Amino acid sequence: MMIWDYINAMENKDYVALSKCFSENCRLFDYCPGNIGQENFFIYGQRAIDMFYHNKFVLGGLSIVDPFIVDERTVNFYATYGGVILHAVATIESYDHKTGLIQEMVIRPA
Amino acid sequence: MGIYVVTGGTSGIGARTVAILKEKGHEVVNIDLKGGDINANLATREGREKAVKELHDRYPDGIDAMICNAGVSGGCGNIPLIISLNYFGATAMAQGARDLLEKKHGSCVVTSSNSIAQGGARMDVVGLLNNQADEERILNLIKDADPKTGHTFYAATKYALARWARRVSADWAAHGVRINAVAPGNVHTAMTDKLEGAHRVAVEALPVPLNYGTKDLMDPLDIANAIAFLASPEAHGVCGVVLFVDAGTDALLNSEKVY
Repeated sequence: MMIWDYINAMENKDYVALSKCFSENCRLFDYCPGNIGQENFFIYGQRAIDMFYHNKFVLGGLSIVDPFIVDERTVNFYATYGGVILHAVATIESYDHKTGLIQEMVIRPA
Repeated sequence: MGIYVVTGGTSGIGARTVAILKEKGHEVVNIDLKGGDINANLATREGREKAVKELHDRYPDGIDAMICNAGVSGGCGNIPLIISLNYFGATAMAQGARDLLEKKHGSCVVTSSNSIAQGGARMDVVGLLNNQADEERILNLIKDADPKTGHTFYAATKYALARWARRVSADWAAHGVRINAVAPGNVHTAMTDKLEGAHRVAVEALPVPLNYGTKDLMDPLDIANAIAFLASPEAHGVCGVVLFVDAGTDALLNSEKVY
């Protein structure tokens, strides 16, 4: 399941593997940072995900722990955004039916 | 052809800017600590006053552009120098040359940084710089700051510099002088070439989208071309702008911000 690949990449802070979970013209929105006074994440395109998460994993203090996969489209976890921990749920909103790659993912506070 | 003044023109972005302007046939004056046409320490009040006086002596009929580029990085380990050179060395030189710019309806460009959009600036220091602007008192307030936090002070000086340019731009424009800021991304320099370990990892974690797939930083020439444009008459309609010249880094990290 793609959700496994996604969560493995996030846990390992592997931004290259993470980007490979997504289709070329994907979208990823993360509405958690806004809950703690930071800018939400809006990322468009597979390579942008690679570069964006490279930055956030190394300089932005982003990490996740204790993931719980709810179903093939949904996982919740505890995410740390620069030292602040939030309970988050990530949902695959749509995916490419041929490749299985994620087209749109939304992460919200759980 | 015009008279263009560049601070910090001996190396890096400044040197590339000097070269471009000379290629275009302009008379260029480099003000720098060493190797300049005017040698002055812009981190000190005396050095700035000396340089401004020299400009007035040489060009009583005015200058076409003042490019305030001199600065040091956050990794220099000297926070007072970051404050004095990056902020006061730029604003004082711009203000000191303003009457010369008015005479020729010239333009001013200050070098900021795309780090101003990455949330790392000490905003209390930004406020002190923009609203108090008392160099001695600010230096006294930060005298015990840890040199390892230089990057937060660097971002603060560059944020304050961009905001200062925005603040004064309307009034300067009403006097016929344009002022803009460029916000460069990570630029390839002799200093960045030598970075190792955690510093290298950190630099590479600020991606340069136009160089995707490589670990290359930006060429200083890319920044210099933008500065030369903003300083030129071709940019006549551009005033009060903070122009990100970072090969896409800011758009990557802040895609929703359009203003």
